[in-house]
Amino acid sequence: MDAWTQPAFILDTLPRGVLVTDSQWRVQYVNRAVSETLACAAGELTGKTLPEIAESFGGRDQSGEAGHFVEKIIAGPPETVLVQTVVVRVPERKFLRITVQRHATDAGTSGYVFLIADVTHQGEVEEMKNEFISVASHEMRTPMTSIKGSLELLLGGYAGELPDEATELLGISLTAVDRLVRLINDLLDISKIESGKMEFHLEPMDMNDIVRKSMRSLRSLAEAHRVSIQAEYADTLPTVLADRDHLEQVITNLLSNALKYSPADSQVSICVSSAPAAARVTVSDQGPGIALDQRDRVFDRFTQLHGAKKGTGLGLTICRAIVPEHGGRIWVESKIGHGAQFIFELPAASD
Amino acid sequence: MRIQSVLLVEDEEDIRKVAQISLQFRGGWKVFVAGDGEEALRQAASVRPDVILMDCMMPKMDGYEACRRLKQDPELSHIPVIFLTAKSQESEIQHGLSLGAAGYLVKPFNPMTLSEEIQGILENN
Repeated sequence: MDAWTQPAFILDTLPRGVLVTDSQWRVQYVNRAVSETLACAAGELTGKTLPEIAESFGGRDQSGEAGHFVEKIIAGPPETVLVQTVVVRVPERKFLRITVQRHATDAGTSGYVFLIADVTHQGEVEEMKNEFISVASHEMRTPMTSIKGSLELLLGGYAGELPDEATELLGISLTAVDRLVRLINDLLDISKIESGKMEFHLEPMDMNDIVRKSMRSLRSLAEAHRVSIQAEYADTLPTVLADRDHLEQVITNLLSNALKYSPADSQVSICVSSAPAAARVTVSDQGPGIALDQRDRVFDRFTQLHGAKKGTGLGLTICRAIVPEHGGRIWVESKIGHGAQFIFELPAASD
Repeated sequence: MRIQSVLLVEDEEDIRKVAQISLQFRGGWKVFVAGDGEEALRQAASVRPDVILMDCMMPKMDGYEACRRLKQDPELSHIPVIFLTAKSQESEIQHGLSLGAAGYLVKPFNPMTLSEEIQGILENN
């Protein structure tokens, strides 16, 4: 074979980093792009374990993001493929998009292949965008507070009794302002989650309890839409580690979506059940359903199907951001004309 | 305790006006106002309000510092302080409570219920 067709030579010409470990996470091979990206010679990487390497690239102000990533994959090695963006310091800050894939030979030996792409530019743009959203939302909140307050005072009779026409117009304005306030809060939540600034206080929780509590806050919305909510709880259920407020937010968002898209006098159901090594929540409605090609899109920001302008269009985006922070997954099953089922699972807490 | 007077500390004039009207109109309280933490300390010492409703982020001296100083002053430390805060500052709420605040209310507040909420916090304390 000519030199230029040798696998090692080919791998060295790739613009992406390729790093291979054995099953004990000890590095067996790195291509040239890895040593360039991490700014160190291949010899300094091979033979070391991932925790050892992560330690040298953790960086202080990132609170060891590389270390967290390595801990996470060692604690739960991916069955198939895992993709994540990790910030490292080499010593300048770099955003790396890392794909981890298990590989095994017929002879029974196995290990992991890491594909490493340098996405620093994208990462920085993303950071600036989140920073902008956060500052802009903050600035908008102040005038919103005085507009909303003034409208509420007028409607509350501060200026005396108002003609019906004025009451109607002020009511419309107040509804619109409330929508803006929700938009701002949702945007702030998303920018916080995406920039990793949202705090998650994980505690052992019973999913039945959280669903029960979330149901209470939705009663009036259900009545307004003339939709009944049927809840089904699990008799035996693994405990999950979750942030109570954020988990309630996920359940509330799913339920309020189901209510909004339900025809009057129909039923929405929420079912808590146990899945293999997980607790599952399923929210079903009898609404118009979601076409196959729209299924992933429903989680994108500002997507509102069926021409509806019923919410902020950010509720599901927030759910999709929160659930993975708990190590869980969320998805939708649906058939046009047969309603939609939104399902999420959180892994059982290990004892 | 029936509240008779409140010191409202808020740097945004429009929000201050709305809150002031709300506390007078709905609570029937006498409302004193201040635009920053320093002014709040001076006002608190001279008018001795029943309760202080205070924004967190303000120029000159922020709400936390003003609260800390109030709680150190034996003449004023008995006056309950309630923070008025934006939702995104929730992580700072614990900080406020650790400084001796009686509670907090979130912006945007509803002026039709603001005085009841203040009364509620004080009754639960």
